[in-house]
Amino acid sequence: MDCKSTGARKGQSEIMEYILMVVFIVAAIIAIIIFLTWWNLQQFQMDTFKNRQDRVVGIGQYMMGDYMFTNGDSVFDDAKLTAINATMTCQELQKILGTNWYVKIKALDMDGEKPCRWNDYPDCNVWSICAYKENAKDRFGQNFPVNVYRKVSDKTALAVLYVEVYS
Amino acid sequence: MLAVHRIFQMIFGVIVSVTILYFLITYSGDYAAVQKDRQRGEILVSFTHDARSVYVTGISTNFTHFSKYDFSSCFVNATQRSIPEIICPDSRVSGVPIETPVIFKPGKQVYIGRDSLDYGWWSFGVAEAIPSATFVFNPLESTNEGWNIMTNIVQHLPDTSDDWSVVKVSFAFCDGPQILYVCGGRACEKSDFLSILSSGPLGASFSPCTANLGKNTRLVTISASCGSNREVCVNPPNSKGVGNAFVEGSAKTYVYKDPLDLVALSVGGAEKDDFGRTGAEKIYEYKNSVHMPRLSLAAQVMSKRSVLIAGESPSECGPVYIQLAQVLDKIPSSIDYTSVSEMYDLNDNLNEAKQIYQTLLDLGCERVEYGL
Repeated sequence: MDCKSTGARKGQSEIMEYILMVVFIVAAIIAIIIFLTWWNLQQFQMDTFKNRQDRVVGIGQYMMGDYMFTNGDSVFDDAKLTAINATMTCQELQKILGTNWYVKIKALDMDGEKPCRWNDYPDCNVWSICAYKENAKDRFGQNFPVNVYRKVSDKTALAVLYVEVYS
Repeated sequence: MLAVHRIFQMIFGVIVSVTILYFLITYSGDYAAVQKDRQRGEILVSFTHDARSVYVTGISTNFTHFSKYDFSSCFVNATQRSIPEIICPDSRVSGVPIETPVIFKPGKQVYIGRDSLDYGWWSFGVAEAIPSATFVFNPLESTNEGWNIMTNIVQHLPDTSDDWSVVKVSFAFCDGPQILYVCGGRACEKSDFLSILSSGPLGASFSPCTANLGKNTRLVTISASCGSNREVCVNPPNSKGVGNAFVEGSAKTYVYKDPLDLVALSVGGAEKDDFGRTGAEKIYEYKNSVHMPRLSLAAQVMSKRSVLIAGESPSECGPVYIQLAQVLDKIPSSIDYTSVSEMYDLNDNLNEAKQIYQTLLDLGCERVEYGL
């Protein structure tokens, strides 16, 4: 009886060891999977941030390269910007540049901010393209130094192009 | 004899091992597929960045990352609702947005260069991303119009003669069963071919091309009667610069009104995808889907700008600005690029606007020349 019970106990303990080992292996595998999934999620989050930054740069670069906004050599034309504000709806530009963005160009040759509406031209220095949304989430914006050509005075002014994207 | 617990250990071990192995294989397979998709996505995003850089700076580049995976089915698709996207029908990675106008033909390696259409008062810029190719011309009639078509196409294709370019775009003629390599027995570089074309037709007439065309060869036939021609066939344009083009295997008639239309058709070629659409059709439709709305918007902006500054300009400039605004106002907000009559009117108005803008330049009212 003693021999039998000792053998059974030994068997039981071996099975327990075995199950414990399996539990450790499974735990290790799960830990690796959790780490890889976490790593991927982190990568995706970084990609999301990178994509937003790319989008901001993309919108800025596109505007600097399109003669609809500039008059060559990436110099914005103040008369074209005023005409864009007067003629275009945001939807028309969204077909070219996508949705959820806002652009503001401020020429630094005047004090303060004077919005460039049709009747204010040329005594103005701020152009806003697509409306600024107060309650937009996940905003990301960036400033770019640019030039604005003043058509009437035939001068080129230093300016700041601010591009913002949001969700 | 085996103890009961040993038998239990064996059965349990087999079950656990198989389960773990199955799980690991499935997981690593999925993980590898996700990583592959990620890389494909990164490559497409990287391509959009390069295209944008070339579009902005004008500095050409080679894009070689397409050699890693198969991107041969990819094309740029424009929709009415949002910005164009790179679509790859045979891949899970698709729909990568690309705001830069780009004439794109996939290949293992592509050369990205910038091209533009100059209207005087505005310029439509486009990046061209094309793989190595030999453009073979088959002008069936010896006319100046035919020669001009070839010149227009060649002028708007990239010059890959630089040493650093891994992509080679070259040119040749086809006469009956022969491909004529007219630059010392080799296909010509852009500048050499343009100098040959500049001498005019010189009475040279060619027979319909029956030569074997390689995979990277694009045949462009120029003829007043495009019947059963191979690949792309172009009718000479009328006096307004508008004409028809045809693509082998497609019943459609493609109206062209500028050289980029012909470039789009030539680069795309007659190769069909699984849905029966030719490469020429896809690039031509995309090109016009991005070009025409931008042209309309640019005309509206320039018209308003002209009105805005007419009163602020010297007295001799004001009336010319108003004249320019009136002509630009005739350009419709929605242009049907498939209508021959509408394209006649469009080219008429564009030519007139270009002349008026030239007057503004001559008067010193404007000082920016968009490549005039």
